Amino acid sequence: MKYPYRKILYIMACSTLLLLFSCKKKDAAPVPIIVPVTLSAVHVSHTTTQLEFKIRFFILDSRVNDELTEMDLQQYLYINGYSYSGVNYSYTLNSVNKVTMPLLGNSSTAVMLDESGIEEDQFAGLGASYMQNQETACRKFFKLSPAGNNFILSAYSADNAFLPSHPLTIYGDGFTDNPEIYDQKLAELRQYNYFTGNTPFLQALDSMLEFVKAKAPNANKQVIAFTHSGDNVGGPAWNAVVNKAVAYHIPVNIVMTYQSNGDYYNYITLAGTTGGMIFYVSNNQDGTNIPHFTTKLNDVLKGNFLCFESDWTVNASSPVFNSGFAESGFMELYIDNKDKLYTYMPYFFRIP
Amino acid sequence: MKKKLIIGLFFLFLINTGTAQKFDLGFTLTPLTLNRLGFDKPAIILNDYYSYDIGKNDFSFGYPTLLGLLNSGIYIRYCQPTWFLKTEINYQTKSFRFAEKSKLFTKQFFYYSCVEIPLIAGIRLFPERVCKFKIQAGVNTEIGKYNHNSFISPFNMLGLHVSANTALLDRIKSTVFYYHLGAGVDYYGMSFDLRVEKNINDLNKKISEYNANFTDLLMIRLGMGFKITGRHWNKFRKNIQQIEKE
Repeated sequence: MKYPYRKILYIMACSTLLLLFSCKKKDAAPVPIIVPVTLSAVHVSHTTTQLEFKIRFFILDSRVNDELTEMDLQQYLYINGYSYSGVNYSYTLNSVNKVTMPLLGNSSTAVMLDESGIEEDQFAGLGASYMQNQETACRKFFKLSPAGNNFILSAYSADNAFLPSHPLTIYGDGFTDNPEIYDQKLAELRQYNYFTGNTPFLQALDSMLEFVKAKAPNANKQVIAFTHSGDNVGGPAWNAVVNKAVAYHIPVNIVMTYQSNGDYYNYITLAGTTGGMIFYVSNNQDGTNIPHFTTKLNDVLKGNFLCFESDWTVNASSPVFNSGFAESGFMELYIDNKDKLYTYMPYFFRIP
Repeated sequence: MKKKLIIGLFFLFLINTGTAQKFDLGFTLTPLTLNRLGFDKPAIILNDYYSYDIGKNDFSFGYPTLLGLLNSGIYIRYCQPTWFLKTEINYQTKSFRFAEKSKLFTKQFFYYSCVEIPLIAGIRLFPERVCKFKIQAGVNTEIGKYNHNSFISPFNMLGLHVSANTALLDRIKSTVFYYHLGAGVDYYGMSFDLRVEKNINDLNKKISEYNANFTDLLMIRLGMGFKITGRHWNKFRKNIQQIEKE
């Protein structure tokens, strides 16, 4: 019997080719990353049945190199009407204009990471990737920070075995421009996020405001607070913390992921009143735009950016608009009708 | 023109070594490797700003080792009945697990392609037998670090794009020296080696104070050799025929 060399070689060659072709992957089309950020919502005028207000916002669009979107916003921007207690509310967009923001100069920024722990069932879509995205966003922000800016890292939580310091743990000796020093600490914070605890947001922010006022070297002092829950520890009142931030000229920028708690509108008020911004990641998004948001963050903190100002009118079927009326909701934007990719910009204000 | 010259020289070399009884020429194949890459800090941060947990430094077979069917080269060996000297030039794809599966990540692999030139000295334990056992030692030089889609890669030559994580490629030195120890067996024109290799020089291009640095690199590999000169195949056929007759 002749030994079957040829057959063996043939089988080996076929197996190799099959293996090689199995490695060939088809590249998927890139999904656009859209980052919507609300800056402020302000009352303009009102009658009892009609209210006019303005919302300032910006949208970073990966399809145009993270510059302002080139879409016809007048066509795609809207606020859904609704009925409540027998009153119908309908919204009309009057105009959208570009606005140049005032330059603030280099910033000293304190970052507050929320280490109070994620409850997976509340974050079906966002889930465990939240901590990863929070960590990555923070690292990216630090590392992309140009010369002249500096920052400090902190984390807040209560009753957390990993973070015994209550309510706020500040890392490092002070504001720094060396992003490398936080690399391992950020990884550690992400790694130990399963140490769940309570959320002492107000106490932590109150402490941080004092720290920033005393230690921040630049005149442009900023706070970026990540949050995925409402404050459930207590301490100073929301108004007191907002007033302190305004008095200290420290804008508080909020990156939040969860709105179904009583503090949702408090966060929006805090950011809007102090001159900060609100970046909201919906529960059904995967949070990958949190790190993306930080690409332009330095420019935004320095005031080196353009934004949009949208002018809205809301009509009510009955006379409801009086002093103290709380107007709130989402400004929505369809990015691509085909893929039903849309995004939210929350707003909240009261009629003075 | 250059290609023709190289091919011509190769055949000239082949004819010459074929006539010299003490020299063997053949090709090599490294279908299987087990690798371990060590780090000095608990997390490594890559250029994409994500951190990866290092975890336990276990050995790993990576998916790229399946592509080890293309890990091949040529060898030349000087043989005496009880000892031998051998050198190889191999194209090699290497993979190392550098992050263990955590809550968020599946395990991450770092892999690259390179050219390696091992120098091997060994002794044969039973030279009179058909199956010749051997033990060997030597040094290995790894030259160049390329991703799978680089000009040197067979995948590139075949027009295939392999999705590969090459984020650590710019952090590891392009030339790495190893010492290696091994044992194996020669059977007619075929040889099978099991080698353990460890780096001699520092692996890091630059030591980072805050990011994880490479500490050591350990590899266990199964190497195969197929002699293409000499009369071993005729011998092999005759022996098979003899066995069949019996």
